[in-house]
Amino acid sequence: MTDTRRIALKLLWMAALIGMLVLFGQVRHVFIYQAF
Amino acid sequence: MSSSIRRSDNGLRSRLAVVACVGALLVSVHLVLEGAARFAERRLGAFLWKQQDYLRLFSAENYVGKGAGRLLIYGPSESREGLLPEEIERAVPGFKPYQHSQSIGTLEDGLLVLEYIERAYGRSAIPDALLLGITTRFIGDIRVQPSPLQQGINLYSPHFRVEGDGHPPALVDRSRFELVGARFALLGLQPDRYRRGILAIAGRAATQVVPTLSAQRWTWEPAVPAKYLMGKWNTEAATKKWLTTPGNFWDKVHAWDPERDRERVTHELRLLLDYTARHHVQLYVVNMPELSWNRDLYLPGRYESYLSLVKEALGTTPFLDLRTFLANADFWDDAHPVWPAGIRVSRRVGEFIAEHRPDRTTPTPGRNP
Repeated sequence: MTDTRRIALKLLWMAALIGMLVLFGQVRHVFIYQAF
Repeated sequence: MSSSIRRSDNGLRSRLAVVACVGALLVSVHLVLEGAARFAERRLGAFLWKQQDYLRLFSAENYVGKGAGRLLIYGPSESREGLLPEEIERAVPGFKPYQHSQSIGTLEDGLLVLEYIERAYGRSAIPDALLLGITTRFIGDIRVQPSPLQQGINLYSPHFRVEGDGHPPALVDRSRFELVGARFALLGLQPDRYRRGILAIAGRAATQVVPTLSAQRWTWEPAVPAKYLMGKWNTEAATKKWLTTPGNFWDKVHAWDPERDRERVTHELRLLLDYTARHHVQLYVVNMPELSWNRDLYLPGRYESYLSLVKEALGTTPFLDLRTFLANADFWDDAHPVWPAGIRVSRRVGEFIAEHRPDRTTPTPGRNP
């Protein structure tokens, strides 16, 4: 595998990880009021 | 010595490059997820703030260019469960009902919402029609906590903050500095919206591939406002006890004297009528159903006073009183109808709007074709 492809793959993995963290890593839910 | 300085320079550059890379990826991820959420809101009509409905006001995709043909539905959560857009739409072709009711919302909140839509999003966002579902608590502006909408505007709105204690309070333009702070604060809440956006897109894609999946709640329920309640929250005894528990809002509602509040209620309803007249918005008002156990708890004459005050202030506005429309078995809890009852209420309201609707061939003045 060429260096470029290796770097691209690493960036893709990092993006996926960051995406998961953004989507599910919210430690604190900030509710003024949780709507019923 | 120079080679060790060079090595440490290279090390620092590498670290900065990694940080810049991670930063760029974080921004890119947010942009992609934001794009997905906007697509879901704009193209799929998805509602992505189910747990914090007061935040929907800050997504322009929900409003800009969407006023033409829109029947905006506003009221408290009873209206959210009782005025189902998909049922109303069947009776009033040409209207696109949009459920905008807000948990523990009041008329004052509704006036703020209308002004916000007008000032932040412009003429194209103002709906052609407004369906207001009212209750005594809604008109009485009765709360046991500050308005989440007003708090939400102050914390997260990129456009305004709320000031003063008028009825309603004023919407004041934000400074550039406040705008940046509010946008960052709202960014921290976006993961909720992103998740629902992806669910909405996935649900729609799944039903395109396997149409029978549309009967599965997971494919549509996360991205619509209503909860489509089924069954019962609790026993009859527990619900009756809740209605008379001191400290929740019911004791204030049952004791509320509309005559003492006449000036405020009349003023707010006049503001509503001014808004609808100014923007040529058709207005329909529905008095939402109530449990008979609840009806029995009002102090003598108070409910009649509320109804008379509202009708007087609304003048010739089409008004439908559904207070006794549902049986107690049709309620999930102290106030909210179950799904099948919501369907019946919505169909009745749809018929009512169809009966009172002006001639559809007359174009709405002031709206570009």
